[in-house]
Amino acid sequence: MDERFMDRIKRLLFGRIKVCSIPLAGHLVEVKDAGFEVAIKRLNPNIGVRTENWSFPKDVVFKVYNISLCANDVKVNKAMLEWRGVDLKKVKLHKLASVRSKVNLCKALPQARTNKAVYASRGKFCEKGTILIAAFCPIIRSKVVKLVLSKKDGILLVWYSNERGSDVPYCLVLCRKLDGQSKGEDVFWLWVPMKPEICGGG
Amino acid sequence: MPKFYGQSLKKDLFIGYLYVSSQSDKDIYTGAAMVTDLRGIPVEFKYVEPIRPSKLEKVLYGNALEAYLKEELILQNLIKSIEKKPEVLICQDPSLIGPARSLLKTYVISIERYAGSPLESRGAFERLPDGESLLLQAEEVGPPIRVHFGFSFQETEIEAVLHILEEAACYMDLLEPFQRIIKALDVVIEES
Repeated sequence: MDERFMDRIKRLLFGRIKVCSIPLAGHLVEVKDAGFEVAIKRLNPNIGVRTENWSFPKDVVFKVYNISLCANDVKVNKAMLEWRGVDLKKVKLHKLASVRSKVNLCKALPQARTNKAVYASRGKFCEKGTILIAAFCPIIRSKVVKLVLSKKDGILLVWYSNERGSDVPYCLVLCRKLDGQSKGEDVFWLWVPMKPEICGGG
Repeated sequence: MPKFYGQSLKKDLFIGYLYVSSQSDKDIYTGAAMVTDLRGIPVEFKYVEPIRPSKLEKVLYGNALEAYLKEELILQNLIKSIEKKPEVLICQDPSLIGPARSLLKTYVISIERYAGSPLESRGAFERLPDGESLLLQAEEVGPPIRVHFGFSFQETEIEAVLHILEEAACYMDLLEPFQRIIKALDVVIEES
């Protein structure tokens, strides 16, 4: 350990020794010479003043302002880390979001209709002798430009036109004839208007 | 309240859809608002250009980053940009009902398909025990939907909202527009 540092600590400790008066009952004592041994039992070697040995980055300086000594330890009362040579940069934070419009993209996308056969009452949509396979609704029949059945997902994709016209909704149902002997297609599509009484409207 | 069907579709009645997406795996945040007429035909579509927060922003905002991006950046800007005021705004995320409601003077709800069996008839509804949502049989043919109000609602409000949903359900699938929004946002993200 640095000799000068040790000397300094010794001096500091000397300065803190209390001098008490002892009643000598009239005896006069003369002290000619006195010596004092100060032993530092424990000193945290990390608190060396040689800050350059500390493993900080180049731009960081460790400053010790005040060192106080206890009986067998050293405490750092105040210390500060200081950055030197740091360039301040302005950080761009997202304060504003850019809002765009793309209504034509959405207009080009088809509407999807799922198969609601499980919820459909067979009698309302199919005639006797047929069974309901699929029911896609509501679909505004007069507005339909294109229909595509996705067999993979079982959904019906519907493209509408923007033209004005009747807005009566329909249910597009897929039915199968039960009688295998019948002529023609066994499976057929049927547009069934969703009447007010079906939907509970007035 | 009079119910109409077919010829009497209200042309000036619009429904708004609000979707905010956070793809945390790709670090992309975006959102869109679509306003449709009662046939589900879009009359307005606004989207927020994808936001990719920087590492520094993630550190600075910490756990508040997602809420900040969703509620303050995306939601606020989207709602401000809506030109055609919808009668009802449907949020895909129930947590956005409150913030959206404070920004838009209209009914704000969230809906989801309910897996249970249909209610007895179209227009029937059942209050749910949470006090903030109910089941509505909006379609004649289909499952009921769960309507979240996000707060304890008043009778007049229920009546108005359910009436609009019932009307719209005659012509369109109430939840389907979210699928189109997601597809449109996928295109937007690919292009960005």
